Amino acid sequence: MSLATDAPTAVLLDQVRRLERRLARQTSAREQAETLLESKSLALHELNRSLAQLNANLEQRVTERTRELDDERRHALFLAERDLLTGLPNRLMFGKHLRQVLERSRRPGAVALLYLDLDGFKAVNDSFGHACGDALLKGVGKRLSAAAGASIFAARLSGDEFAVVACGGERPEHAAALAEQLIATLQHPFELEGRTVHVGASIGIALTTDAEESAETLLHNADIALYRAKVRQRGTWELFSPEMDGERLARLALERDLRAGLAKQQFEVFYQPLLEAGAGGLVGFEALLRWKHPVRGMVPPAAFIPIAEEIGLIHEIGAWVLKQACTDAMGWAPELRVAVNLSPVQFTRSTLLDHVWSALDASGLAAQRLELEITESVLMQDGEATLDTLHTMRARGIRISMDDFGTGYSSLSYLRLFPFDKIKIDRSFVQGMAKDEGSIEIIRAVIGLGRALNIKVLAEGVETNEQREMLRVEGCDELQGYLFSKPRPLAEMGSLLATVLQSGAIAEPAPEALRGAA
Amino acid sequence: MKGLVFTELFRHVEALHGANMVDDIIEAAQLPHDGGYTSIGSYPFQEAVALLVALTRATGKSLPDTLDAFGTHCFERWVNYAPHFFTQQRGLFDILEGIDDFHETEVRKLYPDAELPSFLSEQRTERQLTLGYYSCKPLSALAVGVIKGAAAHVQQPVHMACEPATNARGAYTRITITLLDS
Repeated sequence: MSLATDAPTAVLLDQVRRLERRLARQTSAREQAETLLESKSLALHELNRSLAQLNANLEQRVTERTRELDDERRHALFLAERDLLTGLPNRLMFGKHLRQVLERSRRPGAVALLYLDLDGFKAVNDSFGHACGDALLKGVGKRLSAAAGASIFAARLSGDEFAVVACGGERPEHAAALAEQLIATLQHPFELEGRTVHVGASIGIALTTDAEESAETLLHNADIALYRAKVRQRGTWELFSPEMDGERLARLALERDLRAGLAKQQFEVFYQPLLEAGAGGLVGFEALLRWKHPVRGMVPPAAFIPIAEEIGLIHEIGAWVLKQACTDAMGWAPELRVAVNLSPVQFTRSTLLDHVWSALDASGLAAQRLELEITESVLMQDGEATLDTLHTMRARGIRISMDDFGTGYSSLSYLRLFPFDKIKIDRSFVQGMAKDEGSIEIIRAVIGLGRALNIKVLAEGVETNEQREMLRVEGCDELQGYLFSKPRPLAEMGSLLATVLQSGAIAEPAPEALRGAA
Repeated sequence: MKGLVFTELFRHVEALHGANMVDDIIEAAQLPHDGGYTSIGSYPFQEAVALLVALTRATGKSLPDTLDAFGTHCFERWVNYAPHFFTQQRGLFDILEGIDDFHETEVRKLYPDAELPSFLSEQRTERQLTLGYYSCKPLSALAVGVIKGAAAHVQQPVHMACEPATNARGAYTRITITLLDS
C-alpha cells in the first residue's frame, strides 16, 4: 500500500509526527548515552591515573622493602656467622673458614689449630654472676682479636671455648709461640664491673699431618690436646700426638666410673686420729674420703677429687661425706670431734649450708663436735660470700680450721679476715723439720701466730717420735700423722675408741700400740 | 531504575503491540521529557509506573498480567544474552537458584549501580522449590513472569503459589514452584 496515494493525509501526518518523535527520542537517548560515556570515560581516566600513581608508589615501596629485606638478610647472614657476645666469628663461620683454609693449603703442617679453653671461667660465673662472666668473655674476645694478626683467625666456639687458626708454613714452634703469646695475653687480670678478675687459658694445638686432613679431625685432635693440657697443668699448651686419644678415653672412663661410684656405694670414709700434743689424749678424727673401685682398686684421692671438682660431682660427694662423718661420730665418745674437709668448689653453690645442716640434723650430732677444714683457696674466690657462709657455720657452733697452712700464698690477711679455730701446719714442714732450719722456724712462727691470735695449731704428717717431741716442745697444740695411725676404716677404729672410752687418753707408748691395734 | 528496564519494556511492547503503541504510552505517561531512554542511564521508578499504567489502559490488561508478560520477556532476553547460564540441561530449579549468580556476575559488571532483585532458595525437594523474592519495588508479578519464562525455556509445566512473608531482612514474597507432569 502506498502512503502517498491511499492513506488519508491525517494518517500520514500522524506517522510523520511519530517518526519525528521517535527520531527525537533516539537522538536524545544517543546524546544521554554519549554524555554518560564521556563522564564514565573521565572517571576511568581519573581512576587510571590514580592506579598508575598507586602502582608507582607500590613499586617504590617494593624497591625499598626489597632493599630493607636484603639488608636484613645480609645482617642475618652476618649474625648467623657471628658470636653475638664477643663479635668474633662463631662455630659455623669458624668451620667454614677452617675448611677453606684446608682446601687452599694441601700440605702437612701448613695449618695450625689452637683450641683454647679458659681456666676458672666457671668460678667467675658462679661467684660473680653471669653478667660478669659475659663481660669476661667479651674481654677475652677483644684480646684474642687484638692478638690475632692478619694470618690468624680467632673464633668463639661455645661457652668459654675459643679457637684460633693460623696458617702459612706453620711449624710446631710457631704454633707453640702463638699459644704462649695467647696464654700470656689472657693471664693479665681483667677489670670487670669494678672487680679484678684473674683467669687463665689452656690450649690444645693440632697441626695438619697430611694433605687430606679434615676440619673435623683437626678440631677433634686439638680438643684432645686441650683436654690433656687441662688435665696435666692448666695454663699451658699441649701439641696433639696420636697417643693422646687413649689418655682422653681413659679419663672419660674415670669420670663415668666416678659418677657411678656414689650410686654403687663404692665410697668410704676413713678416719685418722687427732691428738693433744701434750697429754696425748684423743681429741677427734679427721674424716678422709676413700674410693674403692671393683676393678681399679683403691683410687687415691688426688686422682679423683680434682676430677669430681671439675665435673661438679664434688657437691654430691661432699654432702655424702658430711652425712656419713656426722653419723659415724655419733657412735663415739661425746667429747670427740670429727673434722671434714670442704672443697673450694663446694663454696660456689648455696647448697653447701643445706648439706651441712642436714648432716647435723639427720645424725643428731652437736654442731660443736663438727670441724670443717678449708684451704686458703676457698677465701681467694668470692671472699665476701665465703665469709658469710663461714660466719653462718660458726654461729651455729661449728669449728673452722685452716688446712695446709704454709703452702700456697699463706697470706696472713686470711687469718685476719676470719677468726679460725685451728691452723693445720702442712706436713711438708713437719717432714722437713729435722733436715732444715727453715721448716722449724716456720713452724715456730706459725705456733707463735696461733698463740697471739688465740688459734689452736695442729701439725700434720707426724711420723716419728722425734718430730712429736720437737712439736710438743715448740708448744704445738695438736698432732696428726702415721706415728699414731694411718687413716683407717671406721670398723678398725673400734679398739682405739675403746681405749679412749676407758682411759680418756691414749697413754704412752700409745703410738706403737695404736699401730699394732690398728 | 536502570534505563535498560525502559528500553526492554519498549522492545517488549513493540514486539507485542507494534511501534505505535510505544509512541502512545510514552505520550500518555506525560513524562517530563520526550521519552528518550538509554540503557546505561538511570531514571525515576515513577516514570516506569506511569508507562506501565498507560500500557494497561491502552491494552485493557491488568497490571499483574502486564508485568507477568514483561517478566517472561526479560527471562528470554537473559537467555539471549548469556545462554551458558541458562542451558536447558541445568534443569528449572538450578536455573532459578542461579539467577542471583547471573545478576552478580553478568549484570553487575555492566551496571555496577543497578538495584537488583534477589531470588533466594528457601527449601528444595525433587518436586518443589520455595524461593524468596526480594526487591525494593513491588514487582512480584514480574518475578512470576520470569519464573514462567524459565519454565517455558526448559519446557517444564509448573504450578506456582505466591504469599507475602517477612523475615529479618524485611517483607518479601515467597513463591512456591511445584513441578507438574508434562
